[in-house]
Amino acid sequence: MVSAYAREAVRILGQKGKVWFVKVGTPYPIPEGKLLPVLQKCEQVLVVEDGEPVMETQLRVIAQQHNLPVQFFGKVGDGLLKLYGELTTDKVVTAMANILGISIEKDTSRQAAKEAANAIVAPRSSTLCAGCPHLGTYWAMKKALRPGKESVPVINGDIGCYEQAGYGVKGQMPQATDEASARYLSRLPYDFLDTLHVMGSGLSLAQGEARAGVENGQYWAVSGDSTFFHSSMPSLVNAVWNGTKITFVVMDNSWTSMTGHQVCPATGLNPRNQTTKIIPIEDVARSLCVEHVEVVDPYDLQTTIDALKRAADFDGPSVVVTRRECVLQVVRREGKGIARTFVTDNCNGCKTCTQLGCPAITFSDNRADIDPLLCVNCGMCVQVCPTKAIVEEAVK
Amino acid sequence: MTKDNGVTNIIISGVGGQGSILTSHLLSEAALIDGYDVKLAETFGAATRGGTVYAHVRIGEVWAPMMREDEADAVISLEPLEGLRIGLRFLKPGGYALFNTRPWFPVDVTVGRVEYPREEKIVDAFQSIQAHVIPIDATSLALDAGDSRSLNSVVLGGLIALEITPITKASIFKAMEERWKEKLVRINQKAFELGFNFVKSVV
Repeated sequence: MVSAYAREAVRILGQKGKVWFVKVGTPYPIPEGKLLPVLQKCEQVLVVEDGEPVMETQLRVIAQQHNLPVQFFGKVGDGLLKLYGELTTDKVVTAMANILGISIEKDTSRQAAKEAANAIVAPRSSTLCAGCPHLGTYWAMKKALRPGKESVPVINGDIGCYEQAGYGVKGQMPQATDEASARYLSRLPYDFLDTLHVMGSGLSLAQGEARAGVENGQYWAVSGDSTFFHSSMPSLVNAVWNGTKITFVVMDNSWTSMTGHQVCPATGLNPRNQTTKIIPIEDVARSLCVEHVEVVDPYDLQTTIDALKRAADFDGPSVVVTRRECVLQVVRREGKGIARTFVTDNCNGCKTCTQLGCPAITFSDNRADIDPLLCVNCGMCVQVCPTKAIVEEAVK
Repeated sequence: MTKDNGVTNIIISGVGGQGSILTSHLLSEAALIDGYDVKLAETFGAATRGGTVYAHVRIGEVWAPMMREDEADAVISLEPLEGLRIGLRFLKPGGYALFNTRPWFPVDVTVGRVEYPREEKIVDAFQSIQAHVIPIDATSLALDAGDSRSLNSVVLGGLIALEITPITKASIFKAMEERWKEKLVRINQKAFELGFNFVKSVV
């Protein structure tokens, strides 16, 4: 890929035939026999590579061994290219022009116009899907953790669709250590997770936190079904073995949805797409000697809230499985149908429904609305609305 | 002004789930059918749905799959805000900004942390960087064609109507036929025609 940028930069700066262009197929170990003759004829070398300066470091060693007076430009030291960020043609052009002493004219008035125009561009934070069962689980967790109990909940997540709860809403990312975050004044599911690392990290981190201890601390971890099978079971054994008081919420949507709906042991299909038995997460948890295990439907918000409260009160590791198939898969199989959920004139503009985080819910002119092109009639917003202004029409 | 030589740079942007990537695939397949070299690069973050998604399609002899800033001949968008976000970065002076006028509101707007720019403001912003602006109510035209999800074909029809790419309608239709079953092909070809005719009527 980067050789394409370099090649294009050579053409843009009109250097075709004037500079050597060498594309390296194997960056490590670098083909010394092929490159030494090149270095012997060059005074200056720009090394264009993604990530770490793997090729540049080797080339510098070769040049030193053969006592070649070559000047290198790349990523070592104050190089012309940076170790971070993605390489682009523009960056390579700038670096190459710098070495060759070519000045690139910048249209400053256009830059200024672009910056001025950019002021109205609203950010778009990534979200869960309309009708995603995880929205229900997070809503219930928020309610089960309502501030007022003078407790400090720490929510640990990992990667999967539910990681969206750790990205925050752009420009408003709360600090995990600040008072507001500790007391859960944040309003959206997207401001919810305190930690977000690799698969299975949520449950392991929660145990470390429980060992370290926070006054009035409550330790929670979330994971998905495939992450549970992939890397949460050893941590769960550890939690039982050590009697750690942790609430572990497994959002079972039957698929590895984030990466494109691959199968997992909760799907009922094996990797060869043959029907196989579903391995129930609750049975695995019980067999690992977890004493408090519950299974709920996250679309049923009050039941989920009650189950989460019971699990949090349990003295020891507890597991709550919130089970509902990924809504995208349901829609793919059964069709979306016509949106039957809408907002009536009873809406008083309280914005409670917007805090569910569903992308189908919009708000303008002091009133909520539901985008019929996105709504899948999951019914969660109907349960959330305090004035019963959101209604779902019966199927005719 | 069909280009026989040289390079045409197109960006397709939208919200994840609307079909921007699919549109870029259709356009690229059509370019191959027409016998052109084409480079395609998809850019999306940690969101299958609901996030900013855009794809670079470069038709002609190029090396890098992603174009430079200020290099796009057209930015076609399935959503107004995403058209503006990507268009301001990549459109060349005199390039075309063709965008669907129906917003998909970001959650940031819904909870009241920021405002969604009004359509006039979006048009003004494009004009301030010397872009030709063509707003199109693609979602309504797609509904007329039979399915709101065919809005990407409406916008694609609009792009072909601009005559800035060497790609023919026939090869887009062929690409659709190779990809979809008959019913989907029918809806999408109708959607394409509606977008094509709309843009012809305003340019």
